Amino acid sequence: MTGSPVYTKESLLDIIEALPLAIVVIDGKRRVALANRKTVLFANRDEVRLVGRVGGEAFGCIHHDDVPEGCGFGKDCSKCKLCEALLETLEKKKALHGVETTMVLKGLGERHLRISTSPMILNNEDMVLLSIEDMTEAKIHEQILLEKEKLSVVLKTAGGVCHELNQPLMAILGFSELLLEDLPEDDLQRQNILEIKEQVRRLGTITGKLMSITRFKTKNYLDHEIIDIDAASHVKQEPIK
Amino acid sequence: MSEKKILVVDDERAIINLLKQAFSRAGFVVVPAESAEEALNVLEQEELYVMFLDLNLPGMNGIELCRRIKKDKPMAIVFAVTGYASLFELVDCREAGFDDYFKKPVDMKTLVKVANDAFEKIERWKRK
Repeated sequence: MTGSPVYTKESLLDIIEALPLAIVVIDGKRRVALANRKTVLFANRDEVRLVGRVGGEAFGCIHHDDVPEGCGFGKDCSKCKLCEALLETLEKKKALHGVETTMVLKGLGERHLRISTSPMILNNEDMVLLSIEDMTEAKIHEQILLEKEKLSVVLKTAGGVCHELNQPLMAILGFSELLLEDLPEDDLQRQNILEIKEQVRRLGTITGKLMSITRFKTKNYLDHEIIDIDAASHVKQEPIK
Repeated sequence: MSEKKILVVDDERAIINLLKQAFSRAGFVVVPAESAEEALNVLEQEELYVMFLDLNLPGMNGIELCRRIKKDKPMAIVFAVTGYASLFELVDCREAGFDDYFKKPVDMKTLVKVANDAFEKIERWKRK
């Protein structure tokens, strides 16, 4: 216990009440001993329903009702990083910072949380100071940003590929037309040249779609994920003018 | 107008060669240029009013070239022919003064038709 800060309930509440994070003090039996206003807002329940309850129950963990013994005894509890962090801090007096976990909470749905723990002594009892940051919105924002970055890379690649492909396609299409003009109507090669033209048109349609990509959409191809050109592009029709 | 001359600006020899053949079969004379700078030199020496410009050129790009041409020759009819065409590029083309815009691969019949229409237009303007 040496080195752990010592507080009274009142002095600690004075400190944590003004903090912009959800701060909870958890006792040796993993029950909420103290919670600041931000925690009340986060858990969306009044202080009375928080204090004295085991962590999972207090925050509305959906697995809390799975087993009669309550939080910490269910089969999902062994995978719970919040539970694991609290136990580690209680037993080893070890502070943990920025542990990220996803929990499904009653009334709040799936939330992405970043938790930090620190050992402390309150009323001569070993406890854990737990801070909870709800990162759900930030994660959504991060995901949107990531999708935008991916789209930007796809657009740059598609642009380069289209430019490089469309030049030779234009030459193949044009020279095929010139050959057709030179051949008599009954020449057997006409059908072959028409086929070349048709294939160039198909390729032109594909490059047209590549140039019209507006979304990052993928599909599975064998063991890989590849761009789904049809779904990612807003062009559905023949783009060749 | 005795000879119907068309300026074709593209840094790909195959495209210049193609347009030369296709337009000459339709009765036009193609004056080729492989860069914007070469095109501006040509325009200083020859009276040309119909032009097909690639946008991705070495040095000055086709959009800037079009701006320069339209500034000196507002009557010129200038077409963009490009390998890559985004919506933003289309907006830039309109702003630069291009009269129309074609994405490669475009068939020769289309280009020959717009060239014919352009010369008809210029003849009509000259008669007024």
